[in-house]
Amino acid sequence: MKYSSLLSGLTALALASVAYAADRTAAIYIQPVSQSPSAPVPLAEIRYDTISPATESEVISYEAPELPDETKLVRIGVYNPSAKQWASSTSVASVENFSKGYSPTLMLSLDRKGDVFSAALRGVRIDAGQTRDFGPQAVVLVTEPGKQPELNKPIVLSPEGKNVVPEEKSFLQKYWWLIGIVVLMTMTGGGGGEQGK
Amino acid sequence: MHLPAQTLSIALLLALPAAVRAVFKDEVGHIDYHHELLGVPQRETTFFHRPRPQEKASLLYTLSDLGVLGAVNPGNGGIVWRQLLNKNITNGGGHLRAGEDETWVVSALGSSVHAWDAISGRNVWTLDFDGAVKDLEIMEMTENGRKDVLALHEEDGTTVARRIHGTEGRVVWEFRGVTSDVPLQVSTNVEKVFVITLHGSLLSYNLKVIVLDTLTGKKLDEIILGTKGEVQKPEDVMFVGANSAAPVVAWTDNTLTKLKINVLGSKAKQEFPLVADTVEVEFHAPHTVQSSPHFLVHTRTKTGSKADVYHIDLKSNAISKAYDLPLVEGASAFSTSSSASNVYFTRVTADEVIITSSTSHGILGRWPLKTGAEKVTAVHGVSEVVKKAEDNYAVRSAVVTDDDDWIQIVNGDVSWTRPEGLSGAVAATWAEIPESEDLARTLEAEAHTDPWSAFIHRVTRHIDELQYLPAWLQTIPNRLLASILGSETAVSSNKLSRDSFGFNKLIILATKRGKLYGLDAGNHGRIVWSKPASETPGGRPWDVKAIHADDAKGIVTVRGANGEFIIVKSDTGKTVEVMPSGLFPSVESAVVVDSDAGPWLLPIGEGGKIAEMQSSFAPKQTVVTRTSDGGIRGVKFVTKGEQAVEVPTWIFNPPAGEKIVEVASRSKHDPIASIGRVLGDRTVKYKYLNPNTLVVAAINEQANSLTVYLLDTVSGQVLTSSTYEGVDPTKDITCAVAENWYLCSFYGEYKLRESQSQNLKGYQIVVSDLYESDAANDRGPLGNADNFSSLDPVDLPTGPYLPSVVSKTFILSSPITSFTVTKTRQGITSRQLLAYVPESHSIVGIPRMVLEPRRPVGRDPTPGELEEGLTKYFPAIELDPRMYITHQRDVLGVREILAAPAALESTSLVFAYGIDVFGTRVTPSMAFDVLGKGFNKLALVGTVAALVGGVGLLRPMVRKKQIDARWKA
Repeated sequence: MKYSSLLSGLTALALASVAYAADRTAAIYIQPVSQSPSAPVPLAEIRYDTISPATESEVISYEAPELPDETKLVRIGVYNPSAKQWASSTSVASVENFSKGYSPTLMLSLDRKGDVFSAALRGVRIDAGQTRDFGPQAVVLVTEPGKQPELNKPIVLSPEGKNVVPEEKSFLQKYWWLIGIVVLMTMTGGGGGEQGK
Repeated sequence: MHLPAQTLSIALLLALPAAVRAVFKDEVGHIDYHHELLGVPQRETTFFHRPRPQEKASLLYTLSDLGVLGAVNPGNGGIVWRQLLNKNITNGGGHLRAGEDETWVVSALGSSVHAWDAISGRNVWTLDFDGAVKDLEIMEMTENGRKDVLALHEEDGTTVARRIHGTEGRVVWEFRGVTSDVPLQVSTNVEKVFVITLHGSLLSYNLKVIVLDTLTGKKLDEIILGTKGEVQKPEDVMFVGANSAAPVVAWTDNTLTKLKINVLGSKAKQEFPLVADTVEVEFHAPHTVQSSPHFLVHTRTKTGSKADVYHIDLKSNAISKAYDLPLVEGASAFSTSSSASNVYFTRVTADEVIITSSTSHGILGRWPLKTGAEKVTAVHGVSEVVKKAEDNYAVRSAVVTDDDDWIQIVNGDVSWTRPEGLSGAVAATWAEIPESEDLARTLEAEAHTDPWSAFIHRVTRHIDELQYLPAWLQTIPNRLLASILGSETAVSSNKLSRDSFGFNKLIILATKRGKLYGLDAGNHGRIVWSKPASETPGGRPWDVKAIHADDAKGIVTVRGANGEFIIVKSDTGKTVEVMPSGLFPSVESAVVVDSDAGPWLLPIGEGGKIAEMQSSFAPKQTVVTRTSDGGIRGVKFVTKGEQAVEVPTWIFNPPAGEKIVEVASRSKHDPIASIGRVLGDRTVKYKYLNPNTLVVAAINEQANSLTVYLLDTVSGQVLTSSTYEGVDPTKDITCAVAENWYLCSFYGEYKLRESQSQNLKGYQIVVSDLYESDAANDRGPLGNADNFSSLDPVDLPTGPYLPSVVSKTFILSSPITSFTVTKTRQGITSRQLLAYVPESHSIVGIPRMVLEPRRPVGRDPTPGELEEGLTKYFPAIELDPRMYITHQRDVLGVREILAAPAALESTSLVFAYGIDVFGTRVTPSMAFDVLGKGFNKLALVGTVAALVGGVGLLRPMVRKKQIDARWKA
């Protein structure tokens, strides 16, 4: 009787994975912070997986920005070039993050649906002794499901209103495998005894 | 003597609670203070009423402008009972009536009608209807001897009158009007029920009187009274009497030169001239059937007021003027009092109280008003006249003054004063008591000169101060004595001065009625100064957006929504500068910023607009404002020559469908005593202490989910976010941030993610701790750095600097609002979350130890965890009365709680305002640095003195004995 529900659950799961397993890309743009800023230019494109975003993300393309000399701060975000407006929240970072010796790390914040709602950038010093990978990194931060109160297990009552004690398994049910091993050992290890004589 | 052990132990047990009570009782009322308030009484909803017909004593009932219904004991001005009618503060309105010789009072506010027991304040019955209540009246005489209630509602434009059973609270009959008139009032004259409506169109109404049968509510007649455009809006009808033998309806012409009166049920109207320069007309008539059909018309002119008394002839319905009370300069308050058929009118002027009978102009009693130095300007009042002997009368009047005080005058003497103006506060702040300016100035002068002249200046200053030495020496014995007897804290001086414990501070309070108050927190919240509403700018109700005390200058700035502001001296309330509304752009909020010119309150316009300013006033920090499309943005200021202009840096917009409902940031005073937490195994978890963080709670009303974001306000980066399902968007969502933790409270109803069979429903609180990394003894990307930047790159080859979050959710036993976290001077004392519990009218202090995300789940804490003070996780937090810092006090309608540090590290000062005003001191880690009041200094000094005396006495005796012993030996 529960097969139908199980089946539907499985289908839902399969459908969900079909719907969400698709890799997504986010186009990160950069813009100098000033009173009369120039239009944002593409900085990087990041591919991420909505099922396991924390591990399956990579920088597809990265273009070191060419910024005017007087720029001190840059604005980072997902940009919609056709609508000419930011498609996500933006954050700022100093231009030092692009200096030599740092590998820019792009941080994407995803909501529960897997959409990017904020992007940030931070340069992290490269440990030349440890790694040869000097390229930009991508970090995806997912909105976690909120903590729920940790309740005790509910008390199950029988129709008579009494506590249902889960039936103790019999000795055989519990330790059949142990007995099995002992039997197997005695059966297979029979020959050894004679050798010892 | 043989006392059985059992009896002794029982006696001991019985004595124990007494000892416990003694510990608590001596602190209540000593460290805390509470102004139990009602709001300013309204003219139409205030009266004296005898709650028990067989007893003579009466209580004073009022429904205030805040929607608080209460009974006051006229003997001492104390509150007998209170009820907040709409669960929320309202802006005036409402109806309150009491039937003569009935044990209940009936109130109507919003859409519901309630009856309350007059002596206990318990609800007798409640009826909720559709639409809004327009009027409420008592039927003093019915066919079966009881008294019923008449209620008039407006439901979608139709007039609905109902007769409600007085004691059972059921509808006896209902009348529904068919036309779309504007219902105005309901009235009755024993034989008939009258419903008065405005008939016609806006600006040219006629009065329509619908006559109903008292028994069935059937329409008997309909009378249209032509007003020739004199009644343009409901407020133009001055008065509709009720429960008199001949109730009247009255209005004036548009220029206030003629008064027109109609006796209900008749078609004729009579006209009476009004005095020149009339600005306002008020009616005073008795509300009892047996009273003579006399009434008083109070006419206010620009400078004074007069009154005319009219009589109605019951046979012919003719109205005739009986006599008048002369025009007197200044304000007067008239009130009516009736006993049997006699009607008395009481007049309270600025300097005397006069009573007259309604029948003749002869003065029955006259008393000079003894109010002390301050002149009382009576706005309105109620009174009770008692006839003691043939021509000996006594009168008591409860009068509302223009200072929003409620005072009772008994035969000319003020018997009590209730500072009702303190209620309905909309903003408040702590302020230090200003030090003597001279000293501050000399100290500053010394600091700025070269060392040698500063030294000379200082020496001469000290020599100068020697003249105060003898006086100071003289005070020593007194102070010593007071200190030993423990009476020094009980002394309440009326002088403002700082104390060494830092308990004496000022609180500046702004109310919605436009008043400003200065309260002395160290002296039981005494009102130091008050500023009348006429001297403050802004509309009424006053929409105060920010209040800021500048302790260095000793001034307080209050900014309103329409660009108005006022700057006053914090210790005297004297106006330094005032700007009326409308001259500056409207203000959405205001924030204190640091600039080269010192800290100041930066006004932020609608949609987060900030005007250009002089470069010396440019904020040094990033300013965070709301945007016009519901987001949040960061703004930096760049100087451009003389001017500073804003440059937007980052913008935070929550994902589509989400709406920001709450934003919380760390307080300016949030000192950190320790940068890490030492765990039981002697490792350290380092706290993530970013001062520039903001907690943003956004609700998705379609998905019923709440997402809490933690933002870095310098870079705009989202540091962490989490989503909670099944959150009710209509209920309060409140957040608070302190130190390295933040919390949010909401109402949630959902299935547990871990076991779908378990359903959860209730108010919850989520606490999140932020640490520098998941592991102990590890600071993550920060390494050994002393400071960090939100913008610059990370110098250790690790990863970006993100906090590690530990969270726990707890279920609360009742909703809590208005969060604040206790503040102490150095932050060594553990913190408490202070919150208002609206359902029990209390303020609760939840220790941070309870709201601890690291509490172990499903097992007992290990010895190491016990050492840290961690207890086993329990999903529910029971807000039990021992946590209430208000003890048994009933603190009504708290809007905000403010905490401030005292000079003592253990103590945090707390102040709450709203309807009531409450203040106390809390010691979350107990009072470890001050001797309690229970410490007996006298016993200590006595013991030491007795020991010294004993030694002095015994020493010669012992010596003599020793010498004797030697001689004998």
